[in-house]
Amino acid sequence: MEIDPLLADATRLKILALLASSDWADFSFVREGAGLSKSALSKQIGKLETHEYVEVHKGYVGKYPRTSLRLTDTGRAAIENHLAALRRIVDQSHRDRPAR
Amino acid sequence: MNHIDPSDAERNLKEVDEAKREASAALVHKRGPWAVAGIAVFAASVLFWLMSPEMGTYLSWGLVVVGLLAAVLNRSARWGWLTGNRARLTGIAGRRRRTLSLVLILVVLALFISINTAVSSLLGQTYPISGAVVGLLLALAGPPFAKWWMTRPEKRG
Repeated sequence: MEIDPLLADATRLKILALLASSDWADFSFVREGAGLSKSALSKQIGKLETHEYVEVHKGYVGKYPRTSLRLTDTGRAAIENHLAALRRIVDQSHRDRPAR
Repeated sequence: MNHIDPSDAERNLKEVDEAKREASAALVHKRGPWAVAGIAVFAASVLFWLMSPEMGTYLSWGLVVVGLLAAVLNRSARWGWLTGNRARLTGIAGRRRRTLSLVLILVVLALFISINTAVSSLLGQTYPISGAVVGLLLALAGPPFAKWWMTRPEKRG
């Protein structure tokens, strides 16, 4: 279990956390949850998609684009390992802290 | 291994937990979808009453069919939006959310049928009274009930 360099970025970690709690999620739902602009989220999703952490479904409802996102198995394993590594760091620091 | 400060790690973990909690809260507490559902129930009951007073029964069965269809569509990333949902939750929050939908369908049906029966025996006709009562209940009591339902039992007031 190691720190994932891609998830060391807090924004990407938040995006993956939002997707990890759902089977699929609307682009707008993740955008609001992560507190990002459309372009900022698109940029981050692009990076996550390149690493095959996220799957993007693009469609149209009439003239309007509708994009849904889903975490891949690789992405799910990555965030689980990353969170486990974070927990280990926190636990270790608590153990190393001198007792008062 | 990349170095990460323990305080940063702790903050990241807290942010992840918060993001997950906010995600499940955002899906069920918003008043808009509840108001739309309430108005839809009332509008459907008016429509059916105008067509025929006995149509209340069909509305009840219609609700069951809509509920089942929504449950199936909701599984799909491509078609899930048709249900009005913006995400399909997984884990404990997801199970709680799906139980909430089922409980709601059953409560709406039970209320609808019992009010219809009572109004029919008192006034001789059903009128869209049951639709109005159930719609109003959904719109007003839905969000606080959903908030209570999604809260972990040990944290409920």
